[in-house]
Amino acid sequence: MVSEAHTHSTPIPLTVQNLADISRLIKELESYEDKLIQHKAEAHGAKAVAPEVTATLQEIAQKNKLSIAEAHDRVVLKNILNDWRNKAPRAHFSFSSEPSPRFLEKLITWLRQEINPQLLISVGLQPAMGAGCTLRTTNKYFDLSLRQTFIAKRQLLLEQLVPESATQTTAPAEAHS
Amino acid sequence: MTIWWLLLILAAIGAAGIGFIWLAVRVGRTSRPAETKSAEENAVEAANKDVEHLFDATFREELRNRGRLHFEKIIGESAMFLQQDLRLTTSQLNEYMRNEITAKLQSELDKYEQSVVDAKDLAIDSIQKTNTMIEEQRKALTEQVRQEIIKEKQQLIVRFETNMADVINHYVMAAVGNQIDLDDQLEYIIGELEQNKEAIIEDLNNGI
Repeated sequence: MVSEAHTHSTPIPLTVQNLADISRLIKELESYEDKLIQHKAEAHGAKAVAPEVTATLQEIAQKNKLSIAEAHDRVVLKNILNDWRNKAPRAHFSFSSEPSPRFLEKLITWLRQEINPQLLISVGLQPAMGAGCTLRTTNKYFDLSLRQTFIAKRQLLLEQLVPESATQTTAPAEAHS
Repeated sequence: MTIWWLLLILAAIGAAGIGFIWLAVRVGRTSRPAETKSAEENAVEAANKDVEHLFDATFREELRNRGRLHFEKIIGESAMFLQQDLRLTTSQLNEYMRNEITAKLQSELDKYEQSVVDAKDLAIDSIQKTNTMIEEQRKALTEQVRQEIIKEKQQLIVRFETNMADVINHYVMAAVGNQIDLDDQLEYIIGELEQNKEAIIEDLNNGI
């Protein structure tokens, strides 16, 4: 039985950024169990050698004070991963070009620190967007592109072009539901 | 006039000749009964003989020659007079024709010149009217083109103001898009996320 504390308080590691990462971890865990069974069968009663796991899975287990070698802990770990997959908040970002891993790491670091420690992101491409990005959450859409900034700051340009035309109102860059 | 004289003379000669012939025939008729003739008849007979003696063939021939010469002279004079009259008439006729033709020609040329002048004036009026109309149309067209240009300029300005953000965005991307990669934009993106942080957190929490 999974504790709610595990679901809501356990931060997701930075190396786990999206659903595909979680799915991969779940598969890795299942593969670990299969290999463990296989090793035990091959060992014929002797102590079986535990298969290797990735550092990410190891880190998750350690932070949740679990041991991958223990079957019960593996179940708990699997439930944690399933909870993350089913309940963690998600956000979709669109960029004009493919972001680098370093960029994604910094972005996810800020998001996990400022927005939600369990936020999962997915990345898409909009080459015509130019600089900036767009963000789509559960019910809203945020245009964080440079174009939207120009629209929001249109009055500045008008003031430079025609100093007398400072009476027009600006269109703020807000979220769209 | 000379022809009439000629005819008159010929008629006189002919009448005289006929008279003589008649007389001769008369005398000849009355000379046959010689026994019963009187002194008057003798005188008449003698006169007839004198006449025949005077007017013999030579005299008649002479008369004929003179008449012929006179006739030829008259004919010649008449012909000369006729020729002179004819020449005079011809010259007068030529002069008259020349004057008439000249006058007529001058009159027609004057009319033609007048018609040419009228046509020229008409053409000038027509051209001036056409020029005036063209000038008016040119002004109207110029004004229309000017209004169209102003309207087009206004539309361009409106379109630019409406799409200013897209224009500038496109310009910036085209100018320096290759030099700004995503890593350089991180600070800007995080700044924008920071500005919308509350709304993002609220939506994520409501969605959970």
